[in-house]
Amino acid sequence: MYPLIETIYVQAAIACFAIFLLLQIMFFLRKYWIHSLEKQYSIVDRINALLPQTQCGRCGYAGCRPYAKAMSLGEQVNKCPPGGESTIVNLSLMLNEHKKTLDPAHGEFLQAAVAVIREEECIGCTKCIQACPVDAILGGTKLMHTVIESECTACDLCIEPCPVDCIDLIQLPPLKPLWQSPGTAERGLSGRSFVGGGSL
Amino acid sequence: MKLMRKIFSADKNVSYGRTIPGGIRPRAHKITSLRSRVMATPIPPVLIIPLNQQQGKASRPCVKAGDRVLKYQKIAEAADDSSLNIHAPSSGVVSMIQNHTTININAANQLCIFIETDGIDEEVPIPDTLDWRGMTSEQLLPVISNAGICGMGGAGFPLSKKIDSAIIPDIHTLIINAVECEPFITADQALIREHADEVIQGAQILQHAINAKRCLLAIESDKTDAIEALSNYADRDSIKLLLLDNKYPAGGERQLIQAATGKELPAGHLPAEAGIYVQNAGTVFSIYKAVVENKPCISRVTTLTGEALQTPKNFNALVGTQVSWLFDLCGIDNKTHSKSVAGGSLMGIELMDNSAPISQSTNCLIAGSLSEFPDIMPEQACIRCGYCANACPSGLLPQQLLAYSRCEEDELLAQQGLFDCIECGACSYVCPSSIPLVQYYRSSKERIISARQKKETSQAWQNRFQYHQYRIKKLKDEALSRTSAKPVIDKQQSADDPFSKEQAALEVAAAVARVKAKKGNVIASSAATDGSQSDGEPTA
Amino acid sequence: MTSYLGIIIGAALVNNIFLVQLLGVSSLFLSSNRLQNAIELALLNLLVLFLASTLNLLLFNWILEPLGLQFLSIICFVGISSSLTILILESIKRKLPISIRRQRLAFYLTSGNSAILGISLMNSNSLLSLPQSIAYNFGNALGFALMIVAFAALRLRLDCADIPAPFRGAAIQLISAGIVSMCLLGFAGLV
Repeated sequence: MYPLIETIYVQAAIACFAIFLLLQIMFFLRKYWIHSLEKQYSIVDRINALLPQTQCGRCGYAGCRPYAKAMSLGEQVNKCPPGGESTIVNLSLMLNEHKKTLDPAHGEFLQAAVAVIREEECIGCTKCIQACPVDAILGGTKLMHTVIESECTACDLCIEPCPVDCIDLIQLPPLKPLWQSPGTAERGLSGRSFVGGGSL
Repeated sequence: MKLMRKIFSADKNVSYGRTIPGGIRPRAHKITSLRSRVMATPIPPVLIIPLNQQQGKASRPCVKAGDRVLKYQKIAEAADDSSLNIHAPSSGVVSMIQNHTTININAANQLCIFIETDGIDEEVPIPDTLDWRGMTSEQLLPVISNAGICGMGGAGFPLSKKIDSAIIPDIHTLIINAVECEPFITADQALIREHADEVIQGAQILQHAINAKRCLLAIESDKTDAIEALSNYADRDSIKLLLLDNKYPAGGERQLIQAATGKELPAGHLPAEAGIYVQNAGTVFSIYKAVVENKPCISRVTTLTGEALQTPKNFNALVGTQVSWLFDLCGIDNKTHSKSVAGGSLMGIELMDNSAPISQSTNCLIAGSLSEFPDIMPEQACIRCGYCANACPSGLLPQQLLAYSRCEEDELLAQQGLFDCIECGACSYVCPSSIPLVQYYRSSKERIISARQKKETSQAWQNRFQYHQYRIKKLKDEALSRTSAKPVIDKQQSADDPFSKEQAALEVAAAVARVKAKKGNVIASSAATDGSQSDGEPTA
Repeated sequence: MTSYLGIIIGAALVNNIFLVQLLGVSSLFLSSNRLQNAIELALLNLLVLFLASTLNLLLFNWILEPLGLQFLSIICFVGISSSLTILILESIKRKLPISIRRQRLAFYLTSGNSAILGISLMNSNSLLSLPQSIAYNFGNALGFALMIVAFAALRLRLDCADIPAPFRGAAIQLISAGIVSMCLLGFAGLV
């Protein structure tokens, strides 16, 4: 085609360039290869990383990982109340879904909270200890039980088993709301134009 | 041009800083407050001393209501190394210890010690001056921390903690920051042109304390009166002057390091890691007073300026003086006064309550009129002109940061360098659409940091949950092995006969238990967890 | 060798299957706007496009033409591309989120993609030899995958930009596609 390219030098140069490009592509794909060797790269792990890990079961599954697995098989993304709006947005972005509002059958968005045991009424039955999915309750049979505040995920699972109903869910003080620009709010620009699902 | 200056400059101890990217040149508004000398204020009737004047924990008061205190007496103890020792600025009686509004953005309404002054200004007996040249840094440090000095450039970091963290790494350059690039502020310039000798001595003390190899004093090249004063007193061997171009964020710590050494400090790293230590000139003056004159820090030079004041000037004001009292001292015209600002016009905070007291890090108070601080224009659409990118001193793209802040794209914000933003306000200053860019970036930073904390908590919960599952499994296996072990105790006879049916049954049960234990005792990896729980099926 | 390079670059850039020849546009607009998802989708499409068009080419040259059954070409092409798509989707199910959530949609898009059909028909009409046709298929597939990734990146920017209300969503994407195809005219004299 071009007489210049027929010369051996230019062909050698093109070959070197092609090898260089190939190496670049290999380095790029190496990131995926390394990740696939770690546990994180499996799709269920990636979805699980976006969930809040409260292990509360409000979505209908026994923990966050089973819900992640179900979502990878086609479950709706709008079933997690503790995750808040940001979890739904992140999940729809990752799974290429249109943005949805929270499914009201699974609850409302919650404020941060912790469970607190009223120690005067506790009888030491250990039923709440068995119910807690993250072992956040300290105690033994016929001994005082107490909730470790930093580990409590406010999942609600300890409240029902308690026979004397001595556990309360105390709301933590809400964080002050982030500044919203008045210009953005009145022009309806906050958030993105569309979330997931392509454009059509 | 720079090369010519370098070749033909007669003074070999003066060097010129490199240019920094971006920056703006706003109108300086500095002439009015520099017309007179620094004056000490008369003693105000009430001193309200905040217990938390800096970033860190509040100090604990060691006096109570009704006590009489003398000048320089310690009235509050440092709670830990991030808080300061506070001393009484004048003699009087502690009337109460109550909450009051202050200028500190982290603690706007905090506990303050109220002192009603008696006008006598009686001092606590002061010990003799120290010979600091013979002291090591370990001996100098308690003197400095007792004096309760914090950074006076506006940020207010406790000085003893900063020096302490700088002793271990190798500091090769000490930079004294007298740049004062922000409009309206003239406190450091006024201080230096009158007390150049003390400032230089303080710099030498600091250099000795942190064992720096060289010391630079950075100042803007148009502050000629201060430069003259420094040239008269500068010890030729120790301190070199670094003259910088008159641009706005030239005095920011990272920009100063870039101008002095040409190196950029990445976000999240301290200057001490790069071997550089930056300190404000006013703080250095307090170090001199603390070490040489043995007087703890009770006052600072504050600029009082603004069109609404009849006599704008620099005052050597006592910590705890109320802003309204200082405004009255300068003669404030309430008709033209529209806004009070603590700090400069670009990075200062608006004061809602003029009864707030000044603290150690208040370097300027502006009683502004409407012409100096016009009403905020409404925010309009971004026209993608690019002025903001030209103005950014950190070399970021404010246009893209704005777009990503609106859409809350946290990954892309971090990638574009949101955490390198020093919030100087140069981009908002030049924006023709009056978009409040700095506010967007601040709220995005808050949101990203809280999201990261949430992620850490989630990860901790997930680890706990996995350990919980492992523990339950282990208990189940132990229960299983206990039940399968029971028949061995009852049937001792069959143990002799290796071919009996019972023996075979026992061996089978033992094997089953072993396999179950082996399968179950694997730490909950993804595959194992899937197989063992009843997942995929919604529970009620 | 140079003619193969010329064919690949020509098919990928100069006569880009998506923006210049305007085939397979639907698959592009329904793909993701997350860059990682888009890269996975692009790789999937690359594979499917290349393999399907090569198989169609071989089918046409070795089976249909000698037997004189050219009139069956379109049906056979569609059948082969559908079955190939299903095979590939099933085998990479675990790794790609897009293929699981929108499995049916991805199937329709990838198999019924007019790009595959277009390339296969062009192969059946062209005068290129067999290795050259394979290079041509590879070039087209490469260009298509490139455009999917480029468009996802573009969509990311469009998502966050300050677009007037009437233009948000599909409108601005179509406008940008038009502008980018005009830009691709710059490659016109390359090969």
